[in-house]
Amino acid sequence: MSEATAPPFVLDTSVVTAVARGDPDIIGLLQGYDARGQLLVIPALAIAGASLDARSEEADDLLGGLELLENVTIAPLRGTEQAARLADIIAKTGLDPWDAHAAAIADVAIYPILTLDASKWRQPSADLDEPLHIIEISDPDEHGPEELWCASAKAHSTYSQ
Amino acid sequence: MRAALKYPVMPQTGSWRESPKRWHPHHDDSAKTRFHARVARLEGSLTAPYCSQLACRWSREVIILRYDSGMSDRKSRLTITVDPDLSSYAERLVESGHAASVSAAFNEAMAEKAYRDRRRRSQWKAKGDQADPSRVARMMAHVDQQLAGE
Repeated sequence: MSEATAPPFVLDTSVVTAVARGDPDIIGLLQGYDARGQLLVIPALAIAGASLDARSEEADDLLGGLELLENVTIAPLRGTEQAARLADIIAKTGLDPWDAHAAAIADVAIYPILTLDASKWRQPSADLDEPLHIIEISDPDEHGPEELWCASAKAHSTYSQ
Repeated sequence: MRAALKYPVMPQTGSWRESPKRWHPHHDDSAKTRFHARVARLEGSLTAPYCSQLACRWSREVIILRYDSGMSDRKSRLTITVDPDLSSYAERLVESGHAASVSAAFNEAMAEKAYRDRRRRSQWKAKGDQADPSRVARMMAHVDQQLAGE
């Protein structure tokens, strides 16, 4: 995909949480995007959700470092209209407020959502009037979460016998 | 050799002592007394020209920080607009002797932010240095493929 035509990415809570936990590869990935001028939109509520997950000074510093990237925009939740829109998304999809904020931004702006777990977005995306464009961050050389689950279940089944 | 300490003065009209009308209404006599006591303490302790000519002109919403051109070469003149509650807080810091001046209060706040931002950049760099470049490249390529609809 051409760098010039890539739309801004909206990061969901899973990606922001990985940053808060200090995942070097995710941080390296975001640094790479920033270096090539890829715009990243980070919902303020996704940061709140990530901060809840990782309660430490280092986590807060890593989250704070997000807004120091050149091509990052922190998207606030502003005004009654956006609040009502967020509530609407939560009611329709059952998403938590952290990811619902990402969905609300992506839905209005028609930006893709970057996530570590595409499966959690399937149903919420189907519940909206227009489906969301979900992009999963994963290493194709590694097993995906579903493959890992199958492998684990198979091993457990074998062990039980 | 210890540098002579210059008292804060208004740019054109002389020292604050000579221009009491220039004091903000909140600057009562006790605040002035505390201020001059602080200047006296600084006079006894400073060994560098940290506290040269300085004055602030005050309004409810706007603080104009004026630095005399004769002070440290490292200082520069800056006009800023701040929230009323922050300007009130800075004034209280000065009145209570916790800051030498409104300029010093804002200077300290910015220095603290600069330190925090440096620390955060440093943490990001350290984490980024630990990343596996080939894995990151594979993940980016995978994202690009999904964007292209492959």
